[in-house]
Amino acid sequence: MIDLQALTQAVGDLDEKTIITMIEDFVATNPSGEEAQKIVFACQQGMGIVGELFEKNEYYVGDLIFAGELLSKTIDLLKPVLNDVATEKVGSIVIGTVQGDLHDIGKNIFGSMAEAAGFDVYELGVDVSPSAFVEKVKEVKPQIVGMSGVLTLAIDSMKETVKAITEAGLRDSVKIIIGGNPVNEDACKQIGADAFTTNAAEGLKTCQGWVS
Amino acid sequence: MNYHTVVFQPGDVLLEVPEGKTLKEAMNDAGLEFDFPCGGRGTCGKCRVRISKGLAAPIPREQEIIQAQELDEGIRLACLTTVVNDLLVELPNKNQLKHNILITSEARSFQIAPHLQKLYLEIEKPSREAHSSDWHRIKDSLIKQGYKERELESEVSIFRKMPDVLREADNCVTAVMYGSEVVGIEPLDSRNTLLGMAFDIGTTTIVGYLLDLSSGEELNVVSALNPQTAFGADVISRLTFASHEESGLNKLHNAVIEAINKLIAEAIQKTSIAREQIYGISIAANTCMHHIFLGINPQSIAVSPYVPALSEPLVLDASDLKIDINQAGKVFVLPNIAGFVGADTVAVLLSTELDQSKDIKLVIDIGTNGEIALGSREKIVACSAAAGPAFEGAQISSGMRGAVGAMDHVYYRDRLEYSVIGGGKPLGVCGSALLDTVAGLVELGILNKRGKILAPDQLTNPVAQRFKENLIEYEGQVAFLLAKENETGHGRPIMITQSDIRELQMAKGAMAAGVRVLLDAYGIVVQDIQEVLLAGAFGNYLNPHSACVIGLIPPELESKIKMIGNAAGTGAKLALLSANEYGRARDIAEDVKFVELGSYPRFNSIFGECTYFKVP
Repeated sequence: MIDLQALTQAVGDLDEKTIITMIEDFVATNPSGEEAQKIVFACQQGMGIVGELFEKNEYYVGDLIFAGELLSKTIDLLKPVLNDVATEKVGSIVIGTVQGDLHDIGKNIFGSMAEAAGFDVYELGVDVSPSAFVEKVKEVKPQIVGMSGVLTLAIDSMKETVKAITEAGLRDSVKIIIGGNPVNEDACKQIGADAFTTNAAEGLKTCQGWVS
Repeated sequence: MNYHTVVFQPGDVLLEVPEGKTLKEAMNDAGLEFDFPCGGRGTCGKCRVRISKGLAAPIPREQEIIQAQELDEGIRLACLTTVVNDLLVELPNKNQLKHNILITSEARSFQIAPHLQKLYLEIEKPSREAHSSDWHRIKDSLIKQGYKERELESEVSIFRKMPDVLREADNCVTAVMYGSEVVGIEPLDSRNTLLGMAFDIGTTTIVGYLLDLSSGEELNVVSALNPQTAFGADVISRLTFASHEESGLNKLHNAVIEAINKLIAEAIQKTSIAREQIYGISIAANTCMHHIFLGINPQSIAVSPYVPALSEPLVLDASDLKIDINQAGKVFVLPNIAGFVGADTVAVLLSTELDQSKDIKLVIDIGTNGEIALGSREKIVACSAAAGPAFEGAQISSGMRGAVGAMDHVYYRDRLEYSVIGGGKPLGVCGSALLDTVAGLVELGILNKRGKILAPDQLTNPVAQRFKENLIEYEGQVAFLLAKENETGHGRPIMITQSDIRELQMAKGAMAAGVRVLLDAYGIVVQDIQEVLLAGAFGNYLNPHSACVIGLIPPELESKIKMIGNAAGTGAKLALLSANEYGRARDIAEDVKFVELGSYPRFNSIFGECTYFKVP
């Protein structure tokens, strides 16, 4: 049987080789969905370690990007044995880089961390128009909308997006968090968002606070 | 409205400032040049001044950025200080405004082929028998020189002056020709004066070269800080200013035109040259500066899909842009390649002749936006890497530009040593010193692969032990001390903090990822590169070894690095002196294949890998 603690530690260490070998060996034993679910949980805890190390300044952006990719790789490997298992989600969140901006590193890191933390993440990609945000919110009724951008001009797009969500009568049904280099308290107020962050781990904590 | 007297020292510059304006606005209005790296938004804390009379209590933002002791000493931020009474303001350093501006560069051979030509004409005198018009007789003379009658043209401003000139000079005139267009008629033989100025308009500095268009001789070089700096240090803050501030675009446009006119005046000062003898200027600028120079809103460059309003080469009348040269003068604007790869890059490529190179070369112009081109005569690929302003000292705790007082190089010898631009006590670190410092930390094993500064007891390299004392904790952060309080010009310690290293990791990661993507797009490996050409000020001052150690440039290429100076300026000169080279610039701009990093597959993970350091 797979050593879950060792797996958690390997994810925390970003030890790709060990993780992939462990998961591949595990999948080869043709495990049940419930067992696979435990593996996912162990990986999520490993991501927690990554987040802590980032906060302690041990890890940096490169590590977060790598961790995110590692996590999607493991989920892909586990997919065949995970099917049909109803997973319990802690909440749902729609994220995207706002119109006019293509920068998505921070958003992707946040997305994979949120996913690891058990959120249902609906990823809209980059250069997302206000109406695309509104459509997705109507469709999946998330608890949270996350908007990201790096350019100072992204602030305008964020404002437009909040306006569109409000005009569609959806503002009261969602919490809105903005992330990226140009955001700060002033921008947050001006945009009409509920929270802001320049740090994916911190943003995730805010979101977890909202759904707990 | 209430006015207050504000005196700036040194220099005793006295201003009457309306109540409620900020010091920054007052300084801008008065044309006092001063650095506002964040554009005056109160985020960078770099525009410190000391208020020695009329000091008011600090606002909360200032309390966050400035230490209590300094606040007590009267240190405030010029961008946040509102004038409500009379003030005596001391600027931190009288040399603050002097910058190291790069003006030299590699020369290459080329054929002079003037855009404009002067022809001496002895026009047939009118008489009762030969009574054709002045213009007709001028055309007759030109036809004798080979011009075709139906192609010759001119305009009303020339016609207005024509009769007087002809009669004053007894029908002996010099025609200034631009193709078949008569753009000037001057009395007598003025063929020996045909001058021009080539301009390289950078985000930070503007350099102008006064040239004899007939001989190619460089008569003078002048430079100035780009006065738009007052409205924001980097391209993005200018873009924001242009589209968000009231008449922001106009302010920026007027500032650059005024600066160019001032530089023209400076270039001909102390010479016998008159403005009227300058007939052409050429402009090489990044896309944003290019648009602002033309008075075009650059907003579309800033937002996806990052399309410039205009990328074609342009020939304009100097008078339309209020450029103060001969009325007939022309402005030759070099073409852009794409949103963030502008005419300055075209000029660099033109000067390096990458389009004719047998060998594959990597050309890097490091700035806030690093432009990178890779190619040979087969093909050229180029990209723009958003390095951020770290290399220019912004967003670095002790950072400053490469001005007087900046540490420019750091050496790990028996003890830590450094050099300071202009000598004297240091005021901060500029990009090249930041590189040296971090490269040393990597080589000594003081930094790990992830960029974390290790604790003194984790150091294994014996040489690193010498610098244990430099590892300090400052305001809750680990830092590497470069100069103690008593060794600096302002009494604050100079250091590189953990956050500074993080900024550098992002900047060098973006540049290195750009190189990796271009190699991939070109379909070669790093060993196929024969030469690395570093253009621009930062590229010229940095220590290539340091750049390779931190991974800004692939370490395999260290022995192939060559500094080429202000190649953009060289390109601007070539384009002004030769119509052929100007045409070649058009071809380069059209042929270079632009690679958008943001949408390149796997860019994020490549970037992530490139933020790491390669430790020994």
